[in-house]
Order: sequence, then structure tokens, then C-alpha cells
Amino acid sequence: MQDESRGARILGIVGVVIVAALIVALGIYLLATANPTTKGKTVIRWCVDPNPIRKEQVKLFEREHPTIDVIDDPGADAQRLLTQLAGDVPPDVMALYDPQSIRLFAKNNVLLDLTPYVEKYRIPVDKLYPSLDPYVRFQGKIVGIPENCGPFVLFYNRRLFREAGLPYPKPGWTWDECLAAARKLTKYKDENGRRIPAQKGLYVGNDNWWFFIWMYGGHLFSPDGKQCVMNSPQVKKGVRYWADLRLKYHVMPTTSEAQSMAPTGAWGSDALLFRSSMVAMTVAGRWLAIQYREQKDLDWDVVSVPHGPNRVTLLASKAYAIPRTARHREAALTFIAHLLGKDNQLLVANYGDGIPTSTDPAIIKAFAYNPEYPNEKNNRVHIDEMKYARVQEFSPYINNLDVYAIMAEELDGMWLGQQSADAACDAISDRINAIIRRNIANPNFLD
Amino acid sequence: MGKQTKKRISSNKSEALAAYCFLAPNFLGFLVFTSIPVIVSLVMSFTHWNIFRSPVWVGADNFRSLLWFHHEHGRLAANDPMFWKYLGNTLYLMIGIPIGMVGSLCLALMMNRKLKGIVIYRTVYFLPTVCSGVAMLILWKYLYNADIGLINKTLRAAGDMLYANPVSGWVFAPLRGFLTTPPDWLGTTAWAKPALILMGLWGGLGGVNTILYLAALQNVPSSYYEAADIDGAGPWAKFWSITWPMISPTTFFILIMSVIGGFQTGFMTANVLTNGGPAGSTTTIEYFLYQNAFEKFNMGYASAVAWFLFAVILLITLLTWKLGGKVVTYE
Amino acid sequence: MNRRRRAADIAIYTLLILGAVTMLVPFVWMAVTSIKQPDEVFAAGGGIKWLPNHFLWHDEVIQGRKVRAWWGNYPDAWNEINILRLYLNSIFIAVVGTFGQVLTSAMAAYAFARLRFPGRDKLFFAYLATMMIPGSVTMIPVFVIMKHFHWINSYASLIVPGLFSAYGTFMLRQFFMGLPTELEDAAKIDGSGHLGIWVRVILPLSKPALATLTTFTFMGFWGSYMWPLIVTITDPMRTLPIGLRYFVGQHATNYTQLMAGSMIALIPVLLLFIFNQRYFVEGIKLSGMGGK
Repeated sequence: MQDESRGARILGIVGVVIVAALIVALGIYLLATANPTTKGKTVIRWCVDPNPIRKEQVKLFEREHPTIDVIDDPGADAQRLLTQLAGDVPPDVMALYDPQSIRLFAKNNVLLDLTPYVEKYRIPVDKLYPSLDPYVRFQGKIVGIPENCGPFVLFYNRRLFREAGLPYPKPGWTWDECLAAARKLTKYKDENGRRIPAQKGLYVGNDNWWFFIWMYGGHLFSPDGKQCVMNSPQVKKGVRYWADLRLKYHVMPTTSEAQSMAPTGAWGSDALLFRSSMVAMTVAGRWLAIQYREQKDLDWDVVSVPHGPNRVTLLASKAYAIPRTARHREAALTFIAHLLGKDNQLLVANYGDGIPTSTDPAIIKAFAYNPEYPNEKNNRVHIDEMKYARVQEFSPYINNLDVYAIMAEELDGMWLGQQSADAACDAISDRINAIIRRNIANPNFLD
Repeated sequence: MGKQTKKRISSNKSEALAAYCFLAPNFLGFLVFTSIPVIVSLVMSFTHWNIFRSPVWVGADNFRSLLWFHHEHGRLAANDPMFWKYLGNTLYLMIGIPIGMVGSLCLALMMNRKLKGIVIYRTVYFLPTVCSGVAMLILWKYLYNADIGLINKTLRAAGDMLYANPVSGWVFAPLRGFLTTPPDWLGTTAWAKPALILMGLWGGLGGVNTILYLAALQNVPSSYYEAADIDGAGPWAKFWSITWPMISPTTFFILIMSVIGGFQTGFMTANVLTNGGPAGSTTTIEYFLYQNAFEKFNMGYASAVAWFLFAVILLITLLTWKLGGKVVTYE
Repeated sequence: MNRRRRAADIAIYTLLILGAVTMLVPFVWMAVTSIKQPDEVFAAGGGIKWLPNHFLWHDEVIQGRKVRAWWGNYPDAWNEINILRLYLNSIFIAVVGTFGQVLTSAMAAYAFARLRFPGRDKLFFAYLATMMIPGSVTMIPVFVIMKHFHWINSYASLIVPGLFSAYGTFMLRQFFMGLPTELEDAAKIDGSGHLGIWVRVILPLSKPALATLTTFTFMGFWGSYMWPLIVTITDPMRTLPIGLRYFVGQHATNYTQLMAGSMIALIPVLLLFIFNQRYFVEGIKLSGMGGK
């Protein structure tokens, strides 16, 4: 009996020792491979969105610079970046998607000042569009390099225009012209005794408020950012126009209408609806072309966003920056210089992800005509729209997350008919101003 | 005599020494990861600290911004209306607690009868609890998809079936809108929280609570029931006078644990499924805390939120101490 | 009486079966989707298709389009997010962390239960008090501590804060106090020191409590979400839940691969549970009773 229990105990101990050895081996393996390195090469980490084009960009760069390996890390939201910087595990190149983040990081001395390196690494900063400046400079120092940008344009369905007997829209057309066309492009049908929309003329997404804020010359913030002026008469007029599009003229589908219109019972996002020809026009940046190209039977084209008394459109972009504490500064700078080079600019632009940020005439010419997509004849529209494109407004005294939350909530109330457009603008103003006042009064607020 | 005392004293000393050795690693962790952080957190909640600069003392300002009100346009307005909204979200989501408890109790009662194959049922009902985690959330995100999700497909199929027939179409007319165009569950502010509650019920119904209730039910002496049978009591009476009071300690325990847990939950769900949206309708206090700490890096404010949570939980615990004796029947 | 009971039984069976089906349907749907082709998920017509269109054992070309084998989504998902690494990370952290936590808890519990030293009761009360503190209170300062040690994005930050648990200490102390002292007294007479008593007497007698604590601690490490989300930054360091979450973020509409990935994550857990479910249940009862 004693031998048996002895035997069992020895077996148990042997088992435990084996498991312990395995765990130790596992730990050693994991630690050794935690930081992938290749012999003789510098490895840099590029924190950017998970767009499939990134892999192509990495391949292109590694071909031209064989001594540098790039890992594209898809965790590029601002909060992950802050954690990385706070935790002292900085990426080598990171993507920042709005000017407020850039300002925040730059003000807190997190970003590397690129000005002294521009000449040595031949980064063609002078060729960038001037309207991109909020993404590029902070207090005179160059901190960000935008590689692609997208002025918002209007996509329209040529077949639906032809069927309605309407001429194709021309760049520079007005909101009134657009509204008239949209009304002709809105049709209803009968289904199971319910009148549901068969087709709607226009879709401007719920978070595209900038067009209507700026339409009559209004602004969201005062120039010094200390006041929210959403309650100015110009802004209210613009928001009323927007509300009327959906609630009075019914040329834009409501959420439930969008659902009932969707082809396979799909819910109606504007991209999906446009793609299935349920909506004749949609306002978006060029990147949606990537999706629309997949729809072979969709005959689409682009034109400028309609304008009111002011011709203006939204400019979306992103900038790459290098943290001051990045471990491989030279390799990072080489990479950034490459991103502004012709090869990369064309790669991104031809893929459809926006337009090149460089005003280099050679790049623009190559972009205007892409032999892979010969029917995209109006690429010049995007370039021309850059004259009127404006970066979104922000205030140093309130976090954009808060702004977005307030706007979304109050405008939601407007769309559901719970409050008028004027009331929504007043409410937004009040709430944003309350937060701004509180932040200004607190001298320790992070700005 | 002296030798004896000496031995006892030295054995006391050696016992204390042994105790310190046994305690050391645990105590080190307690110090570094619990007690010091608690004090630091308290101090932090009185500061304003963006992690890139040094902290600055602001006194009770964080708490005032979080919890207090001010005058605006002659009316009282909250300093942080989003906080109260998220608190409301957290409380709303706790509606699932009583529903879940009733469901778990019913399930336990059903499984308590001597039926064949109960172990299989118990296992099946426990599966969602075991598998809970990001994988389950991914599944539910897919199920709730307004276009191709199983839930909406089922509703639409039911609608097709019901409205093809004029009679059933008339009976179910008020549901017509709902069944022909079912809502975008996770995309509409009105339906997002109910969707989360439903998902929580699926995930928790046959889980821990049912097991606890089963154990409690099995602890009720059958002599009580036999005595009741002799007295001619029906099943309803038996439940209310015997079962319910006998399992009241378990009910109480489950309720308190669920409420305390309910205040601190919701982060993983919001982070994976909805990102706190749409329009902030699925953001709970825990998610709000994370946003402030690790998205805005407002460490001081986030600490204030954490201490608010602590205060709430402390209050509930104290209340249960006081009320516990009155509500629970002990044998 | 019997007939009424039979009728009630049948009704209950029906309800139980209906409920069980409801519980199982999502799992079945997940499994079915993981073997479909991507375009079948978005198929027009909107009806509920339970079976995939093709059930091939190898990739083939049908009507000019490449159709994957039925198991094709699994290797795709596996490679896409490097599931092996995620599993290895989670296993390593959970095993080391659980071992450490149970060890330190058992040691401290012995000190609290059986040894006398100055300040014992006050210290234990402090432990009890901290059990009430929500995790979010300590999370932020612990993050700052991790930052100062330069442990962000390292295994240390994932394991070390979890090596101590007031709850585990409490539970084991209660259990130890309930053990009869005769065996310990006999060992003391035999000249055994405290370590010997702990190893040879206390621990073997506490197998059920230790097993329960081990199970729950392991499950805690395995399913931990917020903390790894905060402290892991690069791909190789991510644990399974975090890796899955990034999978969703990157491939939001690639449902066939997502379901395959979820299946890979769940199947081991499911199998472990099905074969050990009795221990799970006993463990819950043990911890639940302890709370009364």
C-alpha cells in the first residue's frame, strides 16, 4: 500500500515537474519572440488604421528600402496611442486623424519637431495643400505629414438621373438645384398596403453637420474657440435646411425608411443604399469609391457638393507624426519621406483612398487618369474641390469626443421630431458653452 | 518556571516569524497593488492630472463637476449631464436582474423535479455562462445585425408567415411594423439597451444563479413538504409558505451580488458591441470611467468616478447589513 | 394525483426542451456560419439558410468562382490574427498567475487561520475591507505603477497585479479554520515545523477549496478583458479576448471568419466544461454557500 501511494506520489511530482518545465519553456519562447526583430534590419512600428492598402504600402516601402522592416499595427485610435505614449511603448510612426489630436499631442510636447529634418530627408512639405495646415503645423513647427486627404464630394447615380430625365449635375451647382433634382428622384411604392419609399433623392449622413453649419457662413466656434456659436442665425438657417431635406421635402430617408428600403432587408447605411441604387445622391469622401467600384452594375460619378451662398466643403485627412520618444528616429523619418513620395501617393490615390496631398503637378496628372478605372473621368473634381475644402472646426477648450456626443444626441432629438432645428442648435450651444466655461474656469484643464 | 516562559516566548516569536514569512508575498501584493493604490486613488480624485504633466491639486472640483448642479437660464442644470445619463443607463440595464432571478428560480424549480436527463439540461443551460466573453459578444453582434442577423431574419420570417394569412394578419396587426421591418437593435437608441438586456438574460439564465437556487432548493427538508401535504396544501401554498422563505438567504445573496456587480459592469459589452453608442445609450458608469481614464487621460476625474462607485457599493453593503436580518428568514 | 403530476411533468419537459433549444440555437448558428462562404452570409432573399450551399473537402472552382472547402474559414481566421500566439499568451498568463495567486493566498490564509502574530486581526479586517473596493478604484494607480516600472506591454503587468487576491485569502482562511486541528497537533508533536504542517496536513485536506479557487482564478485570468486591453499594446502581447476584439474591429463584416475565430476560441473551453462540469457546479455551490 505504501509503495502504491509512493508510486502515485512520484508520478504526481514528475507530472508537476514536467508541467513546470513546459511553462518555463513557454515563457522563454514568448518573451524571446515578443519583439520581432530581423537580423541586420531596423524594425519600425507604424500605428495606422487597418485599411487593406497598408500591407501594399509596406511592401512597396520595403522593396525600396531593404534595410527597414515595417510592422503595421492596426490599433491607431487616439486612445490607444495615448496609452502607448503614456506607457512609454511608443510607435515609430503614428497616424492622427483630427487636428485636435495633433494639437493636443504637440502642445504636450509628445511629437517630434520635424522642421530640422525636412531638408535632410527631403520631405516635400512645401508641396502640400495650404488648407491642410491644421494637420501639419503647430506654433510654427512641422509636426504632421498628411499622406492622403479627401474633400467631400457628391456621388450621384447616372442611371437614375437619366431615367428621371435630368441633366447631370455640374460642379458648382447650388443646394436649390440639388433639392429640385432630389425631389424628382424621390419615388414611393405600395407594398402590403404600406407606402414605402422606392427611391430617395439624397442622403447626407447624420454626422455630416459641417456642410449645413457652414452653408450660410456660420461657424461652430468663435475664432478663439471660447464660444460655441451654433445658435447664430446663419447656423440655424443651415440646420433648418438640413432638417427640411428629411422632414419637410422627404428627399432624405429617415432611419426607419432607410431600413424598409434596403434590398435584402439590409439596414440602410448611406453607402449601402447608394450602392444598391436606392438613393440617387450621397455626400461622402472619395474613399467610398472603393466600395462603389465593387458594384459592377452601378453607374456612378462625382460632382462638387452643392453649395449655398458660400461654396465650401469638408476636408478630411490624417497626418503621420513621429513621437519624440520613438526608438528608431532615422528609419521613421525615411518612412515618412517615402509616404509623401510619388510612388506611395499614387498607390494610395489609385486604390481609391482619397486624393494625394501633394500639389506636385506630375502626381496630379497621374492621378487624374487611372487606366485601371477608365470610366472615372471626373477625378479632377476632387482636385478642384480642394480650393473650397475646409478642415473641421475644433476648440482647444472642449474635447471633440464631448462635442460629438452632444451633437449626436441633440440632433437625434431633432430627427425624431422631439425638438425643432432651432431648439437643437440652442441646446447644443448651451451644453457646449457650459463645458467650455467650466474648462476655462479650471486653470488646470488639459488643452 | 523561567525555562517554560522562555520557551513559550521564543515559540511565540518563532510563530510570529513564521507567520510573517507565510504572509510576506501576499502582503507585499496587498501593499503595492491594493492599499497604496487605494490611497493614491483617493488623493488623485482631488487632483487634475493629464498623464503627460504633473498632477495639480483642485480640491473637490472633480466631485463638484461630476455630481453637482449649476444655474443656467434660471433653471437647474447638471454639471455633467452625460454622467447622469450613463448612470441612468447603468440602472436601466439592471432591469434584467429581477427578471433573471425569477427566470433562474423557475428554471431551478423545474430542474429540481426528479426528471430524467436533468444533468444534460443543466449542462446545456450552463453553456452560455461558461462561454461568456468576447467570442459570445461577437456572436451576438452578428445575431443582432439588422440585415443578416438571425434574430431579424426570424422576425421577418414570422412576419411573412403571419401576414400571408389574412386572419392571423388581422390578429397580429399591431405588430406589423415590428415584424416586417424589425429594428436595428444595436443601432437605434431606443432598442440598444433592451437588446443588451435580452442578451444578458440568454447568457445568465441557466447559469450561476440557477445552480445556487438548485442547491438551496435541495437543502429544504422534504419533511416540510410532507407535512404540508398532510395539511392539504396546494402547490402554490407550498411554494409561498415553505420554498420561498427557505431560499430567501440565497435570493438575498444573489440580489445583492447582482446589484453590486450591476453597477460595475458593461465595459466589455460596450467596448465590443457598440462602442458605447448609439449616441451614448449603452455607455455605463464603468465605460465612462474607462473613457475618462484611458481615452481622455483625465485621471483625476476618472478617480472621482471610481470613488463615487465605491461610495454606492458601500452604501448598498451597509443597507444589506441593516436590512438583511429583517428580510431573510433563517431557520 | 399521479395524472396531474404526469401532466405537470410533460409541461415542464416541453418548457425545458424549448429553453434548451433557445440556448443552443445561437451556438449552432455560429457553427453553421463558420463553414459557409462569405457571399452566402449576405445572400439575397433574406431567408434563413441553415446549410451552406457547398460542402467541399478541398477548394474548388465552381462556375468560375473559387469556393473554399468547408473548413476553409478556420485556417484563414487562425492565420489572420495569429490565434496560436493569443492562446499561448493566455495560457502562460493564466497558468503562472493562477499558480502564484493560489500559492500566496494559501500561505497567507494559513498565517491568518493558524498562526498568532501581532496585528493579525486588524490586518485581516483590512483585507476584508478591501474586498468591497471596486477594481476600478485601484486600476488607475496600478497603471501608473506599471508605467513607472516600465512594465506596460509586458507579461509582468499582466501577471504580477493578479498574484494577490484578498478574496482568495479570505476564502481559504475560512476553509482552513474549519479544518480539525488533531492532525496538525499530531504533526507538531512529531516535530514538524509550520512549513511541514502546511504542506503535509493543511494543503492535502483543502483539495476541494484549492480546486475551486484554482478554477475561478484561472477563469478570471482567462477572461480578463479591461486590464489586458489597457496594458497590452503590440500584437505579440495580446491575450485571447483582446486579440478577438481587434479581429472584430478589423474585419467587422467578415462574419464567416469571425465565427470561425470565435469557434476556435470557444471549443476548448466548451470541451473542458462538458467533461468537468460536475466540478464547476460543486465549486459554485461551495463559493455560493460561503457567501451566506
